[in-house]
Parts: sequence; C-alpha cells; structure tokens
Amino acid sequence: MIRKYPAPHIHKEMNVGLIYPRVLIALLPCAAAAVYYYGIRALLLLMTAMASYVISDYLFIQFVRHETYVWDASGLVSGAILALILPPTVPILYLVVGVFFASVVVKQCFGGVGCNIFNPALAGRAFLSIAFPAIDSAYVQPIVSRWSPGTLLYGPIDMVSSATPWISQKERVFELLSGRYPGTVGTTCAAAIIIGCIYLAVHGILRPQAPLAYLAVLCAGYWVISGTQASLFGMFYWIFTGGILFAAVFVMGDYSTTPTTNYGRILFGAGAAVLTLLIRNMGNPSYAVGFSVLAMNAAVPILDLYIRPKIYGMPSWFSGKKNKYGKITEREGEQV
Amino acid sequence: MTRTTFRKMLTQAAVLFLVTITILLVMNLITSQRLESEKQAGFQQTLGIVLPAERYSEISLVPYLEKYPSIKKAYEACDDGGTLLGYIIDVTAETETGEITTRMSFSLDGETLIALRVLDDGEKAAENEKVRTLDFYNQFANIRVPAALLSDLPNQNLTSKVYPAIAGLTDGTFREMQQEADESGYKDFVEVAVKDGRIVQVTWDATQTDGGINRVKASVDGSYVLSDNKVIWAAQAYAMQNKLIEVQDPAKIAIKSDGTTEVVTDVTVSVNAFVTLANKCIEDSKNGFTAASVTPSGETPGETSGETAGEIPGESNPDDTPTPTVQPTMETTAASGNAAEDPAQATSEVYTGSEDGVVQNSENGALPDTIDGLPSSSIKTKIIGVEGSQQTSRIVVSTVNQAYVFLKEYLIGEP
Repeated sequence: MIRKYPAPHIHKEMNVGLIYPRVLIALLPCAAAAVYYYGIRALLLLMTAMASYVISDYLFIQFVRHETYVWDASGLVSGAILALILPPTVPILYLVVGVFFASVVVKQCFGGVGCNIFNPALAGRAFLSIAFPAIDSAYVQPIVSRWSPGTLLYGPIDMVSSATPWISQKERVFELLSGRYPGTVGTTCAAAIIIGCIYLAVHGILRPQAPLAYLAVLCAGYWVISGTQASLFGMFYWIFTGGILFAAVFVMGDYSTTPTTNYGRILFGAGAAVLTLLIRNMGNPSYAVGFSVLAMNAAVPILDLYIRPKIYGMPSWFSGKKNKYGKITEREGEQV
Repeated sequence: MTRTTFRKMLTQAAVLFLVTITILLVMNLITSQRLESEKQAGFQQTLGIVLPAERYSEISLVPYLEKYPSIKKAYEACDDGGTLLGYIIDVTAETETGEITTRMSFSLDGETLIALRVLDDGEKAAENEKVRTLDFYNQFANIRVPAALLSDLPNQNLTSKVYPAIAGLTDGTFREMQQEADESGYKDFVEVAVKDGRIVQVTWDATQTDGGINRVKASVDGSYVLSDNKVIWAAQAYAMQNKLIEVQDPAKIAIKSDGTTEVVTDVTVSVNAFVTLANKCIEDSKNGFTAASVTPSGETPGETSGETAGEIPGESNPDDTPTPTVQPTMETTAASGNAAEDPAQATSEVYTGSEDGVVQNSENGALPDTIDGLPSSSIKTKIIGVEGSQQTSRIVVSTVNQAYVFLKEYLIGEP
C-alpha cells in the first residue's frame, strides 16, 4: 500500500534527538574494546563520565540558567568520548573534574548544545592534561588485571612509562588493528573505530570532509617526514595510533565545532593535520591531536566568515558585499 | 524518537557490539600465543639475570599497593613442568639523587635471597652506578634474609674486634642436651657449629618432655612467658648465641651467682645451662664427636626448630618449603670471615668467667634498635657496604628487607 504524504518529499531524519543516540551507538565498539582491554575499570570510567556529564548539564541548566532541561544524548556522547580518550589509570576525581569543566565551562557557558566553540570532551582532556600532567605518563598494559576488583580503587597497576607501542618495530598488523598495546581507554582499537565510522557514514551522520582532509594531510606528512624509511605499515601505524583515527571520526565530525561549509571543513581538517604534525614531531606527542583540533576549533568562526556557500542564483564568486575590513555586510535581500 | 526507531537502534547497537567483540576475540586469539612467547622471551632476558626459569608469571600487587608502595613488580618463576622455582621482586626506593630500583629473587620459603641486581635506570645516576659491582652483588648471592649493612648493626664496634678461637676445635656440628627437665618440663639443648676452627653458628633451645613445642617457638607464640615480662626468651637466647659466636669461648661469658650474666644486656634469664652445654659442645668438638654421635634424640641439626643465631625466632622451617635449586648459606661476615682472613688482628683480650667478677657490659643488647622495621635480632646476614656509597648500599639492603617482608605476607596469603 502506498501512503501519501504532503510535500516536501525529500526528507532526512536528522535532528539532535536522533544524531546523538546514533553517535553513541557508533561509540559502542570503542567502549566494548575499552572494557575488553581494561575491564571493570573502563566500565567505571565510562559510566562515571557519562552520568556526571548529564548531571552537570542538568544542574547548570536548572539552577544557573533557570531554564527547563531538555533531554538529549549529547551529554552521554561527550562524557563517553572524554572517558575514552583518557588513560585507564586516571583517578575518578580527576575524571569528574574534567567532566565538570567540559560540561559547564566549555559547553553550558557558551549556550549549551550546538553553541559551544570548542569540543567539550577534548577541552576537558586538555584541561586535565594541564592541571594533572601525571595522567599522561600513566599508561598500562591492556588485559592485565582487567577483572580485578582492586583496579576500581587503584586503577590498573601494570604501568608502562608511555603509550608508545612496540608494534611499530615489529610491524604487527593484528595488534595495530585490535589495539592491544598501552594507550588510552578506547582509542587504540582501530577496528572498533572503523566499525563506528562505517555506522556513522551509513546513517549519513559523518561529514567526511574534515576527517578525510585530516588523514590525507597526515599521510602525506608521514611520507615527507619519513623519506626513504617510509612504509605502508608505517603510514597506518602513524594514523592508527595516538588517537588520530578516533579524533578524525568522532571529533572532526562534530557539527557545532567544525565549519559549516565543505571547503571550510577541508581546511579545518588540513589545518588540524599540519598542527598535529608539528606538535607530534616538535612537541609532546600526547598533546598533538587534542591541542591541534582545539586550535582549529577556535579558527572555525573565521573559516565560516571567509568561506561562504554559493548563493543560489548568483555567480559562484559572489557571496555578498564586503566592507573595507572584508566583513560581509550585505547580501541580496538580507542584512548580515 | 518513535518506539520503532528506538528498537531499531537497540538492534543496531547489539549488532555492532557483537561484531566488535567477535573481531577482538579473533584478533587476540591470533596474537595471544605470539605475544605470550615474546613476553616470556623478554622475561627470560630481564628476569633471568636473578633467577633463570622457563616461565614467569606476574603476581597481582593490587591488594598490597597501599601497604607496600615500594614493591613495583613481583613474579613467580617456574620450570618447564610448571614447578615453582622462586619469586622475583622489583623494589624502588628513594635516594638522595633520585630513585634506585633493585630486582631480586627469593627461594620458595622467602627466607633465602638468591640473587640481586640494581637495575639500570637509563639515567645512569652516578650513585647508583657505584653499587652496581660484582663484589657487591656477590654478597647477596644465596644468603639468608633479612640483611643489614654491617655498619648499621649496633654491635659494630665489638664485632670489629676478633676474639681468638679455642685451639683444637674440630669442624662439625655438636649438640648437647640436659639429661633432666627443669620445673617447666623443658630440657635445654645447645648446638654449636664449628667451621675452620671457629664457632660460626650456635643454637640454644629447649624441648618439652611432653612432646609440646620448643621453648623458642613457645615464647614467640606467647605460651611461654617470663616472669619479668620484659624480653621474650627467644630474643634473650638469640643474644646469648650471638655473644658466644662473638667471644668464641663460653668461659668468657661471666656468670653471676644467680645464674644470670651482665655480659649481655637485657638478658635476665639464667644462662647456666647454656654455658654448661656450650662447654660440653666445645669438649665434643675437641674430641671430634659430631652431633649425630652425641644427640640422644637422634635429631639431625637441620630438623631442630631451635633458635639458630641469626634466624627469625619460630619462622624457620625448611621442611615445609624445600628449595631444590637453592643452597642457602649462613654466613656471619664479621664473626667468621675476618679471623680467617687475618688472624693477626685477633686480640689477646681474655675475659675471666669468675662468679660476680669483673664483666664487660656489652652494647649488643637482646633487643637493640630495629632495622627496616625488623628487630636487629632477626638479621641473618650482614652486608659490607660499597666504599664511598654507604647510603646507597644501605638503601639497597633496605629494599631486600622490604621485599622479604612483602613476600612473607604474600606467602601467608593475607595482605
């Protein structure tokens, strides 16, 4: 039976109520890998981060902004991302502090969902890295003591000095894909991230420009930097480790902190990649992805200002009248 | 969001979860064996320096983290058949210039330190490098623990004097026991081990005629309490044993009319039996009668549960935990080593064992200060520190004692 509907007939289910739950589902493989590798500690971190993020959002909206709290899953998504990009040893108190910073300072103070300039989870992570730098040197071997109840209190104890995987020297594809090496809670398993990426792409949620530009420039940068020592495995190792793939899929696809235009997003991704290359090679690799994306988050208003979409019915070069400072002040039929 | 959409999402989530877990399981199945063999190869390279074995498995330190923060790693070492060979423990301690990490292996009963190495920290701290010498390491090979730096022990001044040995002693272990029990039902016995003509080991204990536990154990357990209620009998016996090893001759231990002595402070019990039996052992040694030939009960020396000089009262029980790969050696460095090396240093000072005579008060009390939280009386081996690095040497010895205490608790199974 054919059901009749009035126009418009082009319809896509894309709203906050559906996008965030789907992002949450896309994060599920990473969360599953996290629990597989770090056991109950990872579960505790995820639950705490998500719950405290939602509570923090609710309290701020109800008691500071005096508005009605409208449920959406954005708090769960940001909380989950924050938990996944932290080392498994991070103390619960630090995690809650990071969540509070991400929720209140980065998101709610700027107006809430869709109004924040910086990615809340990344900003929360950066805040924790600066405030508690010890967390960046407290990585552990996966799988070891994952079901030990003591890890709930003390965290995993099989410490390694850094998250540098040994697989780079031995070219271990399976280890690289499965993420069985010391790292953050949920960003090491490339297979899980790819599954989440496919899910987002299939449902049309992932906007591919920024992630693709980011990965492409990073790959090109790898071949340039490595020179004759470059290899295919080396390239995949380059982009599968350090949280790059995770950031490309789950951070660069964020709607409110990336440019609105395709070209803008490409520039955004490329710029983040250049910064990542610089910080990774000349600075602290732990901060490479997070700080480069945050820096480009700050550049988003500028990118949106200068890279405008083509106005229907106007030449492609026209995007409005600009004053002497280059600011668009008037477009046909509207005041900007 | 409609109910249908919600259901669809739940299904999608379940599918994604299952796919992910399947992939992870398969990939980790493929990599596990390889990773394990690589891990074991790595262990053999890094842990094999203190205890070679076929397989090593890590001990979870979670229950011990709070109590033993310095214990960084602990491993069990097994042979091909899975038989436990010993334990390996890494301990990190603070030094004046940073940190020092030691790796050591212990026997199954935790009483013998098999080997020790100071790990290369990569930063090449100058102080740490000074103690990374073979001579220093050799002092930790197959020794009984706990240990202490020689200079830390309270009797350092006295032990620097070497008393002459009694002439004509035959090497071996000699044992003498009282023929009749005292009013408490105990029959004292003394066991003296002679090596290279010097007394190197002394045991003073008493067996109960009704088959109960020996007096040392009873005093440690609290079932044998002295009337003055000060120092337990085991500790006093230990102090007397050490004194005999030090002075080499029971005649030098002056006894007062009430049977007590002032030669060793804090010893309040009658030492008549000890001195008498020790004298008999000396006679046995001169005559060449070994323990096997003179012991009425037929016990061999290793089977006694008595208080041996340098052992923790009541804790040593070699029969419970055999250590096939380890041959523990009991060495009291100051007492036995120096004299053999340099007899010329031996003093001619002789104490007269006259009743209520002039006696020299000893600084070697029955319960002197503790070392690393352990009573000095429990120290079994003395280590000579590296010249110019006494502090670092002390820290290394301290890590041994920390590992010893941890291992004891681990073996008991109650964190």
